Amino acid sequence: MAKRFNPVVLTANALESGAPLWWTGAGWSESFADARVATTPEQAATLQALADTPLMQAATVGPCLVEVVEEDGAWRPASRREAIRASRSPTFAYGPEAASRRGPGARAA
Amino acid sequence: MYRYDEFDAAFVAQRAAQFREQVRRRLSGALTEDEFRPLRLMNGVYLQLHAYMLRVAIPYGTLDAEQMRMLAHVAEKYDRGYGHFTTRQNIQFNWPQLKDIPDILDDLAGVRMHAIQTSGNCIRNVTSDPLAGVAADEIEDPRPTAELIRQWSSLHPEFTFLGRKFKIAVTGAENDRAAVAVHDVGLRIVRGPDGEIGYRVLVGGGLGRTPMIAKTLREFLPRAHLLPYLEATLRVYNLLGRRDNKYKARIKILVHEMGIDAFRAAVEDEFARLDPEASAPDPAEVARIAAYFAPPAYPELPDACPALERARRAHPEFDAWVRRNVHPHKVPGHAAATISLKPIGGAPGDATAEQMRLMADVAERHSMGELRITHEQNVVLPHLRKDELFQVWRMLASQGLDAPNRGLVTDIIACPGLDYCALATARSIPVAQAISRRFADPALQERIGPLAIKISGCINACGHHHVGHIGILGLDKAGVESYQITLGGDPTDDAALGERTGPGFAFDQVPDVVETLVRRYLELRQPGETFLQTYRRLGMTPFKEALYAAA
Ligand code: SF4
Repeated sequence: MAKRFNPVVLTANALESGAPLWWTGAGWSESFADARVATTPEQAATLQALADTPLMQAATVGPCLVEVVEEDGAWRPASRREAIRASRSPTFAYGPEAASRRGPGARAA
Repeated sequence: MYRYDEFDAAFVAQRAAQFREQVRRRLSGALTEDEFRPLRLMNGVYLQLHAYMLRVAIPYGTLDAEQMRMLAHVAEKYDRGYGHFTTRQNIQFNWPQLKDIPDILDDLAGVRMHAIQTSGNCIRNVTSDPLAGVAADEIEDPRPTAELIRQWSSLHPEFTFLGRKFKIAVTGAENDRAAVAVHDVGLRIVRGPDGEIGYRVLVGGGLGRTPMIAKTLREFLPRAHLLPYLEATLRVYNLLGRRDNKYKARIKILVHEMGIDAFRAAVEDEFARLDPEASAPDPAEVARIAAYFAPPAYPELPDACPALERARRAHPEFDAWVRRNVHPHKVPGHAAATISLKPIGGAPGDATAEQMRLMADVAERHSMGELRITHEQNVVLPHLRKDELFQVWRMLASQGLDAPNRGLVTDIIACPGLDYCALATARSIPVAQAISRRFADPALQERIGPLAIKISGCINACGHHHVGHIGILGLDKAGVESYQITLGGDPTDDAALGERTGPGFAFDQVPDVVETLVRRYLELRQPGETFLQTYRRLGMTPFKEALYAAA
């Protein structure tokens, strides 16, 4: 039996910053919410063809398709990995912000 | 500390200039990612989930105050105000822009630092004992040996394209604090039959998807033969090691497949062909290197320190810190101290620019300007006066660097995991944070005693989970994070790999799992026993029952 088709988006990392990008249909966005979702195999094939073009390969890093799922009327990445990428941050407060939240003294939770 | 000579300075500057040009060509589109990737990896630049990551070498974990300040500067100017100290005694910056990396490398070169050989299939940063040169149990300072190997292995023409990465660790103490048995080559400085100093050479240790404890390659190697012998070992590996499968390309697989005896015979054969006198380093150069590591001019002090004892009595929190984080020192009246980068609920190994600057200030004022990074992702101040420990502690406390937990349940090692790492299968830092919060009570931590929890976010095992007393490995089971638990691992003298308890656990269950294991241990332990000792005495069964009986 053929594998069931799952909707996908085209993503990559920005060449200069390495930040995650999503293809909107007209260009790249740093926001997952702007991503153009391919809901049919044909649309997915078009996105894949785009990802494979030399121009795309040169202008971004690692363009590829990732699966998305619909939840409460909105699309979200199917995997935790892609969800973390889409959130553009680790899942916890980090760096100076986290340190100042903890305050001086190593014991505060 | 070792200072660059003109040759070192020239090659670091040259490499930075080359990389600037390569980055320019990549940004202009002249190089594709496939062409550029090996070039960036040769300079410690990875691409992670959210951004590029730059890994900077800290040779054998030693750095001075000026270098620590430079790391703070890099964190602040080019990154998001912090860095992550790793289990390889290096530092990683998580958010640099590709266009800025040439400038970062120039800035680092200004303080004799670089990112060369922090990635790729070459001999990586040599690691060592963070208490090198000061530990009371030391036979000889391992740093001159580590520095000699660093110089020999840097841009070594024969060994820059090995089958896979190659990690060497050196310890000069009776107690192994450098985990030499889990390295491709581990060197222990030992005394030979006639009392002369040389090396016991271990080979084929490593973690990753096929963890192995190293085997003894040579019981005693005279000091002068070190480089020729390493050359023979690397050559045998380079020629006979597999290149068809990345997962079978480490030297441990070759040693395992050949058998240690056949591997040893091949190395000894090759070694016999070499002229050790011709390929041994020039004794004058060895002496020059050693001179950099001559002990600093310590003041003469009595060993007993009434001021310290008074401060300990007056400040129980300081007393707890001294008990846990302060180490004996060779020189009377002195001590070394661990700065824990494991505050309750923190990300293990992370330090902000402000904290780095404070550590540099403390080092300058109190530790002869020197700092060490440990493979437990902490920092050591190696040269403290006992009568200044209280001031040191007060300074550290002002920036949350006073956690009195070295070696305790909250001194957790964790790799970046799925929050940063492109290879990860599960998160590891949030798991560490949850466990840390669960065991936040300092009295409870002390009651539990020494307990090393180590967490990796995938089978590459950067978090050294195989050698955790409790090891935690995050996997992906059909899209859901699942954590496999191992018990009884140990990277030290009686090195052992942990044994798996059974089926894995969900993300949210892990703190409960650890608590269940700790409770069981507290019920079963005999007076004075550590977790590891109890586990070794009783084996897996009681722990397994505690974990799975209820299910
Ligand atoms: S163990 Fe895996 S997840 Fe953790 S840093 Fe290494 S490669 Fe990344």
